[in-house]
Amino acid sequence: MTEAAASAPALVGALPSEASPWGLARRRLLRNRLALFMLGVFVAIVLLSLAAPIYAHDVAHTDPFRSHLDGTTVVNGKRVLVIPQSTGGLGIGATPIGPTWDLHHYFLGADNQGRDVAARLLYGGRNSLLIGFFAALITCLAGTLIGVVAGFFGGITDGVISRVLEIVWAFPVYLFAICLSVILVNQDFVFGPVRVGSGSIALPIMIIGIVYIPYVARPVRGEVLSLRRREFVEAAIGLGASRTRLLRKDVLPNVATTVIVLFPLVMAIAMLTEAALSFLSIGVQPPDASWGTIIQDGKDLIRTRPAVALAPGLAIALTVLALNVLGDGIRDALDPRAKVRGVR
Amino acid sequence: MKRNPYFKQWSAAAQPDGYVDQITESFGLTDEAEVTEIENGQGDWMLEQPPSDRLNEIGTKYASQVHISDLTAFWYVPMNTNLPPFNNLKARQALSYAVDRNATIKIFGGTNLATASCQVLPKGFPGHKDYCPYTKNPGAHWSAPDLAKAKALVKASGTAGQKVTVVSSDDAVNKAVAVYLQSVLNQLGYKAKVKPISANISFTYPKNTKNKVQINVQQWYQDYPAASDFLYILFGCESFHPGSDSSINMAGFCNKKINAKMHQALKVAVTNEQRANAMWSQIDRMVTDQAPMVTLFNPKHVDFVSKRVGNFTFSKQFYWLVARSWVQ
Amino acid sequence: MLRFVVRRMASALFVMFSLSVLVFLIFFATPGADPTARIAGKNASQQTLHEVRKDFGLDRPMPVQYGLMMERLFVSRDLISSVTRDEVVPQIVEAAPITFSLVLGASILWVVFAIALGLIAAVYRGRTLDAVVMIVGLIGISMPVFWVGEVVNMFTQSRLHDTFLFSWVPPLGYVPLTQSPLGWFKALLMPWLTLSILYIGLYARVLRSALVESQEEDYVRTARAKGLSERRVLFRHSLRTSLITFVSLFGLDFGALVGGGALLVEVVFNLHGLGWLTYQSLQQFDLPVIMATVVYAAFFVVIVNAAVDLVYALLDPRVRHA
Repeated sequence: MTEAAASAPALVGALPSEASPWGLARRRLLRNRLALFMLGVFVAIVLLSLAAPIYAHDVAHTDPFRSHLDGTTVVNGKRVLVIPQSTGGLGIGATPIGPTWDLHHYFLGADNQGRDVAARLLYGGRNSLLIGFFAALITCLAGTLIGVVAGFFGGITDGVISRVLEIVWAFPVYLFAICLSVILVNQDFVFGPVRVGSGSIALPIMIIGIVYIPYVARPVRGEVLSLRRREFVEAAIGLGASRTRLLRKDVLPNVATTVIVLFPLVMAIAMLTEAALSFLSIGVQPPDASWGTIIQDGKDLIRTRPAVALAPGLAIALTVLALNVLGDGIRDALDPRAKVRGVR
Repeated sequence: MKRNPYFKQWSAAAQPDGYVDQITESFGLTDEAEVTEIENGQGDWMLEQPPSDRLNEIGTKYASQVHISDLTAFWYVPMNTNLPPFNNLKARQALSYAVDRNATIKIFGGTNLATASCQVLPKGFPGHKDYCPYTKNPGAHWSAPDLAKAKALVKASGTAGQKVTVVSSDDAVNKAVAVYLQSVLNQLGYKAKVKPISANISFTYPKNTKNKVQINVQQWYQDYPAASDFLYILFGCESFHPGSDSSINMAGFCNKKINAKMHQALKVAVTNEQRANAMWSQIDRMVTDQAPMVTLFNPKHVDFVSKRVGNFTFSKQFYWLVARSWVQ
Repeated sequence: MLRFVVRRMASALFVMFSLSVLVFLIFFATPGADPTARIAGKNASQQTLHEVRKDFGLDRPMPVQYGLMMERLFVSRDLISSVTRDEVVPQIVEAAPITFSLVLGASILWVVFAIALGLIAAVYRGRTLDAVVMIVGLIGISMPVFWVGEVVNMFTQSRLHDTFLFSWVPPLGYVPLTQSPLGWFKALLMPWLTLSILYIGLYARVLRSALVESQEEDYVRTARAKGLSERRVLFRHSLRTSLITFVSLFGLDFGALVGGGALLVEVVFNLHGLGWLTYQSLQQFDLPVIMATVVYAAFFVVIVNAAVDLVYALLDPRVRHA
């Protein structure tokens, strides 16, 4: 009974704002300094990515989408080739320059095409954040819905949904992507006014978004199966609550915490899967960049120029970390039972 | 020896005039792993070329184990002469003027591993005579790209702004060359995309006209040491089969005059090889002028062997003559 | 229980069938995938192509080709690869134990570590240790597995190979357990670590959060009110129900990996398991092998999920009636 009364944000209108559940949540969140800090970090990452053109044009004076294989830059006052040829031994191989730590000249060094990695990293953030965020959003929203329906209604509904989830999970995504990219080489999909070519980021968003639905749906389903039998649910049914009310007030809030935790993790997985899809020519295409594609570029430079692959990896890690902590903060703030926190 | 990527494993017994007693081939390693194994002495030779990020390493620390041999082969970029924009001669020549062959050589591994070229026949081939019109100072050799001339040609062709898709194999070097070409095409005013496809279909896919490939990155290695292997097989009318996966003339190039001359040269070769070679030199120039392709460079072959391999001998037709080497 | 098993077996068949049809359709919708020219050889004549097509039955209607392939895969079991001409079923049989060894070892590692780290993070919640554990875990899931593998190889096979640290690491490849248990272990240790790094962080995070959640649950409060020590509360009560999400995800990941999901790890470490087979067949557009690996993978996904559903009942007694 206490549960049904406490988890009632829909009754907000009756209460003065400071004492309302939302107001309480907001105050709790604002007091969580770590969460706020991480929110700041995330906002900073987004802003930096949006500022990519400014950095490339005004600070680094480079075009990160054009190959500069024979280009030159200034390092420590001297003009050097961006990709100098080896001079030692047999003189074979050509290695791009490494990080110069000079914001105006190839801060993180050059990649195999002689492009400025730092500038590409900022541009890449836009694509990665967009794709990662929306793919994770699709996965989490659809996965929650599907998982709740399967777990709550059980029976044949659950049977059918679970089989479909298994088909999706066992589906050979890479085969699909390879074949799709070959099909889309010279033509685009046309859905009425919408034209989707292989370079459209709608493709990776949809593909990744759908393929990971089981990753959210199965855990949610499992939780709902467990929740269905709990005391407060039985109590609510005893009080005559309708099924929708039950779903809204009791099941969803509990499930929401699982999904809040999964969201940033799915986003990380999405950003990395995007790299694999780009490699197969679905999504971000050369010369565009995403953190995943830069990691791919760095794959052939792991031994000689590890910064190229490390930088975007750390960017992904930082973003995911920020969202994780922020997610924890939001969940703690919304949790009506969180009065007993910090006690061990 | 270590090789890649098939499944079988076999061993061969000694041959009378060879030194090896047994050859064991194993498959499945990545090229990076192969280099490491040879460095560790766990393998004697690798089929693939060493990846570009290991070249400097083996060229300095393991220089005595690296053998660089000349090849009669070339890296080239066939352009589909039946599809826009490359059905326009000026557009094709423009690209050939704009491509910085040094940049592509750098991707491949540097000037010690490849020589820039503009023509079809590789150096050392019967009938080869140095010829390069697509450079800043046209003459015998390539020196530098001529971007100004290229841009003027594009303007004159009226093809600027068209969409171009560069197809290539998805391995590191081919893909990098394709990305570079995309950059050049964009500079010239086209809207270029890159489509790397699996190495296993990168040879068949562009051949079929149904796939409408406009331009792709290819290599051609000699099958036999005669000029016709390059000129006739790659650019003869009879090598072009629309709608088939087996149509080696990827440019779809069919010039009646040049073709007639090729037939003539083939006939003459039966009796008078020298005269035939002179004719092939001429045909080489004619085809190069028509630019159904952009020739990039003539590559050299890198063989990385373990410390214990001795008497390494190389043939341009069969490459490393395994049986003639020994191990101690 | 018997009904459960029978129903799930039927589901497995349904899922395998659906996927095989999907794979077939996708493959044939792709231009350039036709293996005729590649089988026929470089610069084959049109006549040769025509004959190859007839020989391999590639000119028959699609449903017929599908039926023939399924028959050869399951009934006569003599399906051959369209690229290497080797039989497919023996390849799968050979590859399966390799993948199984890899995935079993890695999953034991990641489960043990994830539970340990998740518990530590939950117990020390809010303190530095919690943050450190979480950060390290998150870095693990942010670097793609092929990168981790290449770096591991770079150090163990190359840079530090001659030092005492890694000189015991054998050349890349699989050593069968029956041949040498120690060799099997040594060859798999690095791949196990590489594969598990990806998952440890994720599972530790999920577990930590679920543990923290359930701290507030009624039954936990009841246990505390009854006077149980904090540790007992944590271990015996919270852990069991917190494991639901953990187990769900584990079922999905384990099922996918056993079916060949670890392709990049297998390729980087030269383990010729199902993932490696899948990778090769995708590169070569080898439909028979692709088909076999997909169907095999589908079977395991269903079976493992079924096992997970059984485990739910074990974990949370309240679910038993579901």
